Amino acid sequence: MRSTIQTLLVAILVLVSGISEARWLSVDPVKANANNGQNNNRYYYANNNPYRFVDPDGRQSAERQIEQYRKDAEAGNWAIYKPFEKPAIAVTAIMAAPVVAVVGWEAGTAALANPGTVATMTEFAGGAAGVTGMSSGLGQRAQATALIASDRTAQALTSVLRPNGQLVGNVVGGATSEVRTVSPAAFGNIRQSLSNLGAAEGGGNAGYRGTWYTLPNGQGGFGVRNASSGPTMDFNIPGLPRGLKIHQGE
Amino acid sequence: MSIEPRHSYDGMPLTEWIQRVPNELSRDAVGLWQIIPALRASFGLDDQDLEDAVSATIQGLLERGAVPVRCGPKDGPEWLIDDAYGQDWNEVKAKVIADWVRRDVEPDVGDVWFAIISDQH
Repeated sequence: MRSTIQTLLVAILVLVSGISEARWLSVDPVKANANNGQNNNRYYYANNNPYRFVDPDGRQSAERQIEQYRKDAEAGNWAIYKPFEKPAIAVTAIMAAPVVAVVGWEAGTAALANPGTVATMTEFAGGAAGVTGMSSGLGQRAQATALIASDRTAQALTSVLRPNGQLVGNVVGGATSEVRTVSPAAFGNIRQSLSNLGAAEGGGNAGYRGTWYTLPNGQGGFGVRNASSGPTMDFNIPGLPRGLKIHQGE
Repeated sequence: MSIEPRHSYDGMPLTEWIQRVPNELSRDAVGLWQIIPALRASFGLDDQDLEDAVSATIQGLLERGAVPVRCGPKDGPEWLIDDAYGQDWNEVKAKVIADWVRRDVEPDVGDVWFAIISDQH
């Protein structure tokens, strides 16, 4: 789903450039990837493939942003995204109205991970682009920023436990899909990633044999225990299959 | 003709899911916290359909040799048999479901599980 601002930017690109292949008129500040050459032509839009990628602020295509965001989320590197939370002027010379660039960027990211936020994000993007006026847009910005902040934990959880849309690990021994088995290394990584999200010990599950951790921003919690078959994590997290359990395998 | 519910994640039919649940017993106990939320959220069951599916799932666990248990203390046995649900399978199913309905909250990891107890108890 393309947001209002994204659609507007693409339309302007085509109208101003007058060419069939839409290109930005200023250089993309994101440099080429030395390893794979991606973004080598920093004038193109969305990898020249707007059906697969989006480039809401002209800096980087959304699909690559989301992948980088996922890696940063796993590493707990939230701080590097702080500069993008401030209003910025659009990088293209053809955009006369100020645009809160991060909103388009974050909206694309959040919308893909949480379709329930699309309407709110799109509404705000329209306001920020001047469609409904900047004062309205700025008011909505605070609302969207709060929504983004609360959604980050959910996104990070999804990237850790359900990367690429599939639950981590495998189903072993004819179990149901909620019971997963992962390698010891993966088990450790998952546990560390969840700890990095600010999980706090405790949470009112009296009678649980293991240690229960509560996640921030109302994202449920998880427990870690030593079952007879080995280390196991039990999950109660909104947005993930209920009754999710992860065993450490061989 | 009614259409059998399927799991929202992998499309598994309800009857197959119920048959697979006891396969976990060879590795670990199965908690009521796994059964009810999965049947409700992943299969969209509610009311009598949900109770029937919970009952069928518990039946499968009992047939595989499991009994109702609670988590043991951290310095003791992993699981402790919970005698409050009785011995007869129908009694166990009825009491577990009645207890859950009476409390009117989704079970969590501190509630009853089903495990195969060997000589640890």
